Amino acid sequence: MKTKSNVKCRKIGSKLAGLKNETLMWLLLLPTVFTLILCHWNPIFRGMLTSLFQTRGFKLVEFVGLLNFKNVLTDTMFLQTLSNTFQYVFWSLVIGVIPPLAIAIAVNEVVHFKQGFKVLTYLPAVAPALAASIIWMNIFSPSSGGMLNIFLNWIGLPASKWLLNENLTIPLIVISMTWKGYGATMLLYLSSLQSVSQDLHEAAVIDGAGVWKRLFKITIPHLGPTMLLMLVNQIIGVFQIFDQPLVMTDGGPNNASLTLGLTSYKMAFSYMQVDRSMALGTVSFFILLIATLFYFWMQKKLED
Amino acid sequence: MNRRIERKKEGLITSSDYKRLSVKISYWLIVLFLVLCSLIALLPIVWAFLSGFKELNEYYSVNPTLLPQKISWDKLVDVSTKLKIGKSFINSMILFFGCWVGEVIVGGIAGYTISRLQPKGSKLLFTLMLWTMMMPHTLTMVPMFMTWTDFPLIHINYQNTWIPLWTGSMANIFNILLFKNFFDGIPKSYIEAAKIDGCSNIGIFAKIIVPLSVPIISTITVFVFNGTWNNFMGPFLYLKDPNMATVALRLYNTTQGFTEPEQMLAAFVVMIPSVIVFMICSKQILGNNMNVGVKG
Amino acid sequence: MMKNKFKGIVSTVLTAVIACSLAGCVGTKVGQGDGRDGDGNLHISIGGTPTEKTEENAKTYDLFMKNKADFESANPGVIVDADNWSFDLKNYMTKAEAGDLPTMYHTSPTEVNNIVENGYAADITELVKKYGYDKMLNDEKYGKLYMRDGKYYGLIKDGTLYDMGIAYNVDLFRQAGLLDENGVPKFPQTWEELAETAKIIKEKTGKAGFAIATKNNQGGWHFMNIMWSYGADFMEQDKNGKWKATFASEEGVKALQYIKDLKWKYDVLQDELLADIQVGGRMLSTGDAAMIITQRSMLDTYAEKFGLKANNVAMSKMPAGPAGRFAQVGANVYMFSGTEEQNEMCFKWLDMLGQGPNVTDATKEQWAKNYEIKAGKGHIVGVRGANLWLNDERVKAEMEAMEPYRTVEDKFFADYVNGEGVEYKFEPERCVQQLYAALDNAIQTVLLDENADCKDVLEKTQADFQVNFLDKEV
Repeated sequence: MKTKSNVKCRKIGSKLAGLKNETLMWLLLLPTVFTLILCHWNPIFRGMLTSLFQTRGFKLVEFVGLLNFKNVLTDTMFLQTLSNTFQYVFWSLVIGVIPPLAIAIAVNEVVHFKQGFKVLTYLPAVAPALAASIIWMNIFSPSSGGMLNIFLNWIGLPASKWLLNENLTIPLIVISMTWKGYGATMLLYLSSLQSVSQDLHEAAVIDGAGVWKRLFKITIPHLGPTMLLMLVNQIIGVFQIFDQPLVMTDGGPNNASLTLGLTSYKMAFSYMQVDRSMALGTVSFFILLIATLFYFWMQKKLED
Repeated sequence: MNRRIERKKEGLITSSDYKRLSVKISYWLIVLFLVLCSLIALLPIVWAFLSGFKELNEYYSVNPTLLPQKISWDKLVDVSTKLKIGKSFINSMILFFGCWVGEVIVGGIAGYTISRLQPKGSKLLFTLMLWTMMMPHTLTMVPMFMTWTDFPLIHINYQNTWIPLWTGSMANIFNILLFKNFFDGIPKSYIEAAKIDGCSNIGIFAKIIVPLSVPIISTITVFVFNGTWNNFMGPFLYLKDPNMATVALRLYNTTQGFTEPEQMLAAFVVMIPSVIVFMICSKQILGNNMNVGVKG
Repeated sequence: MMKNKFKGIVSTVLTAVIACSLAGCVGTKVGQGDGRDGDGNLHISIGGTPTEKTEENAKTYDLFMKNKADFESANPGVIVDADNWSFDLKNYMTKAEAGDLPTMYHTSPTEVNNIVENGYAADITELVKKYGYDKMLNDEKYGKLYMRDGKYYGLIKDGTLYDMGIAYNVDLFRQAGLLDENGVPKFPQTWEELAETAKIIKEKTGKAGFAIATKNNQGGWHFMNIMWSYGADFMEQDKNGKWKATFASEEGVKALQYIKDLKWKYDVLQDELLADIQVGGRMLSTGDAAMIITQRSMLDTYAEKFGLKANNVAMSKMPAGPAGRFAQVGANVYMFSGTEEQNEMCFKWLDMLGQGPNVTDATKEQWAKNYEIKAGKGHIVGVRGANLWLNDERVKAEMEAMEPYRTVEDKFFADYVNGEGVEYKFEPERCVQQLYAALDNAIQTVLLDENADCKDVLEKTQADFQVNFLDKEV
């Protein structure tokens, strides 16, 4: 009897302790939840609400339903802007995905001057973005004093228009972004690479697997989840890009580098049309939802 | 030289592979590839330095040269003074430390809680967070500003404080995700072994999780550093007091009145302190101490 | 137990930190807004004034501090704060919403509509009357710049208008042999002549004959003058109050064709085709371009920034097109954000600075000091732009005050200053920035594509502008 009631007591006790524990655990999450509500859900709710109103300054004046959306979507520039935005994403996938991966694997491989390579290849990432834009603007400058044009001049070729060339402007902006941004991604891959179990490699060597086979059978699959995460992060990031084109081309030439983000930014700040800006932001939000769905779908596939 | 390769313990190419000639060549091709990458990484910075010293007419000359006629350190000093580089660097560091606490400590604990402690409902929270990650900045920038300049209910304007910038960092979902993924990857056997040894939860956290987390913490620290260094819009909106201006903000405010060579030099100058800090910490940040984890 | 304690402590500390910081240990309480501090002093802040002393602005800073001290002793209980913000669209809205604008700041007339319509501008009609500006200002002619619906919302800074003209690098004209017997550049009288002149310069010196702006909405802004002189107009209001864009007319197409010819027929433009007005200013200053479209006050900026030599620059009125000579006229407009009480103090401040309608010995002294500083910076001193003041006596007094600090010769600016035969026009009524942006694109298209058809380009620009902006005007 005695032991039995004791057990019962303990059970109730542990349940209570569990509840208490649960509360304490949520307390640990409290700051995160708080900021999540304050800095994410609150502004998106306010932003979407604003998109349904006519605004005066930041103040809501009159409910107008979907008028702002109609205005934004019937804009003759909308489709071009959307297509530009996708072009940025496309080029960032073409230009931006391989370098951090290749450099991370290479740095992980070498034994000579390893630390030096790490530091040097990471260096661009410590430059403030604005500084990077200033520098790349000069490198791609269409005037004879632009760095690339000096090189062309050296080898006897005529100067190119670079950023002024409608077909080149997006890839060039993406190159400057890649130069600035690949370091962080590389670092993430590096730390992931360091956790590849060396036993796996050794076992594969014994099985007679060559270097290439091991790269694709062991290293890349190991990086898989990180790569997927970085990919989605990159797509989302590039989809919202506005500061680089703002600084480097102001959306030109002939709107060739205008993005949804930049249009939305200009509406809010240059043209004082907060309502329309918020409507365009909401549109981007829904497009990005699709990217999110894609991420979850891929993640599931990878897990299976 | 080859002795170092023989002692090589990590990566794809093992010392046994290296005996084959084709692998040997590949290895040195990889080294060459890294040399090229380093050059590409460095070139724009060197170019900023060189063209920053050019005179206006030299800079826009029809027959431009790579090297400036004269490297005058006065220009460097002049630009640094205009940028108030020391002060703005300290401000950037204040921003960095606050954000670091938010992103590494708060974010790390959140990542750990979601990954390991898993209180009821944390899965749902995590899913919500993933969905939230996709939010466009252009949609949130203006409403966020409205919130911080007239905080709901208490009506306080947080401009000219670090609060808006620091608080924002606590909800960096991407980092929480990285932490969670990392903690997910720590084998259960570690923790169970420790439990058998009689370790309490806090003991496990302090003695096992934290030391194991050095690589992820240093990686995220680097991200925080980059993030604060790049953050221009935040300080631009919230820090109007010139004494609080960060490097990125100073750069923007000052270069408005600069000629292009001066801008290039300024772009170079703002890199100097961060490169120095980075060099000093590179051993910790990028060091060889990441060889921890699954194998034990 | 220990773990719970640990967690408890951590979370309590964190919660406490957040709660404390949000509950007002930092930050400022919103919404008192009478401009008074704890001691009951009335604060006014002036936009574009130096908050810290540096090597370059030492004199400006000292003058401001002296004025501040004088003003504060003359008006006890009032404190003048410096605010180094000057108008910047990037954060104007956020500052306005946060109640963070300087009490008085200046902006361009392009923004007046937006500022008034969004409710950020104080109505200063009473003060304008009280301080006698209404009798001095030429509202009939220039009211559009600072009045809306019969109410005053702004004051013209320095009482000086700016009007567009062409600026010349005298040295390049000398090298090309294009100076007349007095050593003054031979100013082109028509746009065609300007293109020919530019061609001669390019042939003789290898430098760009003419540098134009093409981006940041500034290309459209300057191009507007050319459009006018070819006889094009921009928009009109129909009976129902709807605005219709009208610039894709035959005349408009000719004007755009002219720009295209500058590149593809004459080839006299700068290499850096994607350029804002800073590029033209810089090229003029360093002798890489012979002519630019600009207004006089911009030359001061170029002098400070690019070392433009005041004695190496000349200005003429706008060349004529088929429809005549046209120049856009604008000004820096002071706008106010404070309470009636604060705004009144700003009016007193302006009076003290000599920017008001009256002439006293004190204002003469202020002028002298100002022009001394300007001359020291290499600004253009010695000519005034078009006159806003009806008060001739005041204009004459100011000219006298600037005479000792003159940096330019009259002959280089005479043509620009007399402006004979030029019709001055204001910017169009609606969506001005968007119009400029649209024109920027039209210009960029024809400059970058030799095969672009000016008519198609302009018609598309107009159609887009109509659909995207004018049709959506509320």
